[in-house]
Amino acid sequence: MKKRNACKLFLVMSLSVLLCVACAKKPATTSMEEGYGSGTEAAGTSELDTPAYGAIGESSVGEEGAATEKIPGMGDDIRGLERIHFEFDQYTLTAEAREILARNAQFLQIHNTIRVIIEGHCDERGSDEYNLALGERRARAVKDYMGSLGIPASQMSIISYGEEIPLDPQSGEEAWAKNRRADFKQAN
Amino acid sequence: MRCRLLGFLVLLFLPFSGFAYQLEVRSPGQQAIPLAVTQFPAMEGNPPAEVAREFHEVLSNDLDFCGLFRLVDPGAFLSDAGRLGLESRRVDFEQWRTLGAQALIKGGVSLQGGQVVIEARLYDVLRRRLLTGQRYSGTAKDVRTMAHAFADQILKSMTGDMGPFKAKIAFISDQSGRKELYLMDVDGHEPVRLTDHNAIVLNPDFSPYSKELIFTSYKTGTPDLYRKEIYTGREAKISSQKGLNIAGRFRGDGRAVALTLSKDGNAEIYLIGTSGHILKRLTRNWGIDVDPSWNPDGDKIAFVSDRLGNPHIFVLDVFSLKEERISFAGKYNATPAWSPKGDRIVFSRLEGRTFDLYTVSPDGSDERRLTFGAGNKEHPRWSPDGRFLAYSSDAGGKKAIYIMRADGSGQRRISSSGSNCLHPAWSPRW
Amino acid sequence: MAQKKLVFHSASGGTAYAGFGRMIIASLVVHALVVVLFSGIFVPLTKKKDRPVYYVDLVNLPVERPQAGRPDGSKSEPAKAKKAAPKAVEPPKPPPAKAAEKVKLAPEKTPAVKEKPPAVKTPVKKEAVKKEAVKKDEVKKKDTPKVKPRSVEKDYQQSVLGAVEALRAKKKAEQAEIARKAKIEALKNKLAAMTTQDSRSAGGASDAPLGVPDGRGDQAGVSHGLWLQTYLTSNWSLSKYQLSRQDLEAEIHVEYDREGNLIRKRLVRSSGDKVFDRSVENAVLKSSKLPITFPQRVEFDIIFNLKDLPEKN
Repeated sequence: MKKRNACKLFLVMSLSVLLCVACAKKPATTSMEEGYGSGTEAAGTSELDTPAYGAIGESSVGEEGAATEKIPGMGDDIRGLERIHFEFDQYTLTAEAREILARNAQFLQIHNTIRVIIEGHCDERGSDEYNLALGERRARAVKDYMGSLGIPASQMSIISYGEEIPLDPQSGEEAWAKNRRADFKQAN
Repeated sequence: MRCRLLGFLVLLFLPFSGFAYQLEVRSPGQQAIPLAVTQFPAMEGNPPAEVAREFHEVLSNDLDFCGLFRLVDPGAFLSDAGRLGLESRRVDFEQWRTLGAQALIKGGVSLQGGQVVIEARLYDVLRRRLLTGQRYSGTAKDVRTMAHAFADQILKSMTGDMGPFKAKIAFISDQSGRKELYLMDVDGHEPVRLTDHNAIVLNPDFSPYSKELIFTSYKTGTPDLYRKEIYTGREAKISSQKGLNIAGRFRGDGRAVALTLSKDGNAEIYLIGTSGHILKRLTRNWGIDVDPSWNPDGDKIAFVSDRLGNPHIFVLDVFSLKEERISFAGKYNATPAWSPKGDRIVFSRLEGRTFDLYTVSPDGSDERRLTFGAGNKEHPRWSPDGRFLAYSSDAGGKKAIYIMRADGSGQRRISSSGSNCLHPAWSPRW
Repeated sequence: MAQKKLVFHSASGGTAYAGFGRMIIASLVVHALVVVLFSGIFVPLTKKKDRPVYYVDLVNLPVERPQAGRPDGSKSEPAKAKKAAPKAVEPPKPPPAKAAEKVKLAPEKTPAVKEKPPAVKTPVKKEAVKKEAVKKDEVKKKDTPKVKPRSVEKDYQQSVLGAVEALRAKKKAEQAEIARKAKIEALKNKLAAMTTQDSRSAGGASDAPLGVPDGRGDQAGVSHGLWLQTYLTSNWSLSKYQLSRQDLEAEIHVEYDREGNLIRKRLVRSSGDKVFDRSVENAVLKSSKLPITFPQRVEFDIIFNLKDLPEKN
């Protein structure tokens, strides 16, 4: 019993930290993370030093589906860091994306031991190679912006997956909009 | 003065008042060669009937695809079709002439000590003459290859230029759940998986001489350039600069590779040696520069750049580094491929909501659209003789490999359904 | 270049030398001659190779003295056409009805045009109507034997007709009506041209007599040359996928005996392309026994090229 309570307390505490830190402006955005329900149990057993993060394991089940399993060399999602989206054939950051990145930067400033990989992704249209380059630009744009917010370059690295790892394997405006994105993954 | 003028007029008229009547025939009445392809009878050793049937099917399919021939209906064949006589004096050409055939393929199949031996001949019916004759031997498994090889010979005989049917097509498929590199026949048969990287493998290109491929793989987490010997399976990472190492293309002499690196923070095209050392940086521009394709002489490349805002095709002189834009329409032009003869560049353009294939002269003139209709047609690549194009299309839902003639006719899907197949590359004639 | 020179000379020569004026005149004359030589009269010479394409029905055997007509005219029609031709020369008594009948050949545009003429014609004098009809028939007469009326000729005819019409109009001072008439005239000319073109594309459905365009004989049929040209075309097989280029041309000299047997063939001029040359020789070989006879032993110089092959993609 005691153990359970302690666990619960731990959970509540960690969640509140998350809320305060990462979602100070817009608490509603936590809903994005609700899909990762199974992660809460792992929180206690996480080998990572920051309790608020690392609650992942097989995180990709919720949104990414079986078609896009984790591939070798690809990092795990970092809870507390949100992905951002881009316009077609664009790598400039939208106002919304900047807001999100500002929150992500705050998070990384607090958890300055976390090293992240910023992944650039594209929708399926166009040349695969061009998209690899475009994905890299997106990742680099994110990295540069985070840098301007005070995150040291050494804490971030980038990689592009072009159109190779869609969140939504469907074709269509909705899926494409989802797939044009930058993700934050944990560096090994 | 007047006399001279008259003389001049007479001179003008003289050439037109010849002794023989002049006629001008301005186009062939039959724009395909009527060809009869017979089923080869057994010669000796009682070979399985399957062999002749398969040879006939593969050969007819290739010959039909190349557009050169009109196959004479086998239902109309007369007695000579089943006769074995292979020497031209024993062929009853008059029969074939009656059927309207101008070319004739006859042959025979034998089984000699477990080896399948196929003798195949192409005749000129009008001149009653042998045009080309070949003898192939191998196992029963090699029959398809023999038929492709003979189709190539027939093209050589009829056009002076060898066909590309015995070559292979490399492509990427996600059949295993991951994108891996495969190899198949030009008609889509006998697909073989070449890599087991369990990652993302992309964009293969054949070495022009040695039987090896280069491609990009995320095997160790980042997009690096690999080379692989096809038959030994030996594999090595040849370029793993920071960032992208993608879209590698062998130069015509096989001694250098153009590819896109982003080690300096922006996607630029570089020239590297086959062991990966950088020879020269070819582009220097804030835009994305990607997808190089060599001209046959190896002194120019076509590539894609978004330096003007949208992706367009450019041509770059490798020595002077002078660049010239050659695509002017559309908002998205991609994946140029320079023809083996050097006269055309094929590329993919987004028009409306779909990508279609176009060709253009290397100087940007004479642009022609090749494909229409449903589906995104992308990643076009030439056959080694420049007669055909391989490309991917998602007209049927998933991406699949198609081939067609260089004028856009004769489109056919060659990869099997069920998985996404893309990034075709036509091998040289081995 | 020539023009520039002329301008320069006339500007400076007037004051300088007396003999220079003659030179200028001579030069002008020579230049004018050159212009005349290469513009109007000798156009047929320079355009020799742009002859229209005829498709001869190979069932119709060639004749020795072909009449004027079209090679694709059907065999049953010459008689009809012959009757029709003299009729047209007579002053036509029921012109409007006939016009309407002929106009019917053009399927779609008829109603619109048919409605217009009566509206205009009613106020105009009967004579004018008649003359108009005669003129129209003239145009038709001129058009029918020619397979492809050259637009230049058409324009010329129209302009002449227009001028005559205008003169008459001035006399009667009915300017407004004339303008309308001219318009209708132009439309009718167009229609007439269209009907001939239509019948052309419809192949054998032409009402032109069977013959050759420049025929002067009296026999319904085509010339031996035109027949052989079609025969060779149908026997020539060459795929565009065999070609590396399209500007190929070869010339073969052939001789046939009276029975239509090939007795000699010689490649006079090679195209430089082996495959092309071979296909051309095959076409001749295939035509080594013609189903026709000649009045005597004949020789032909046959040029094979790809001018009418659709552009290769």
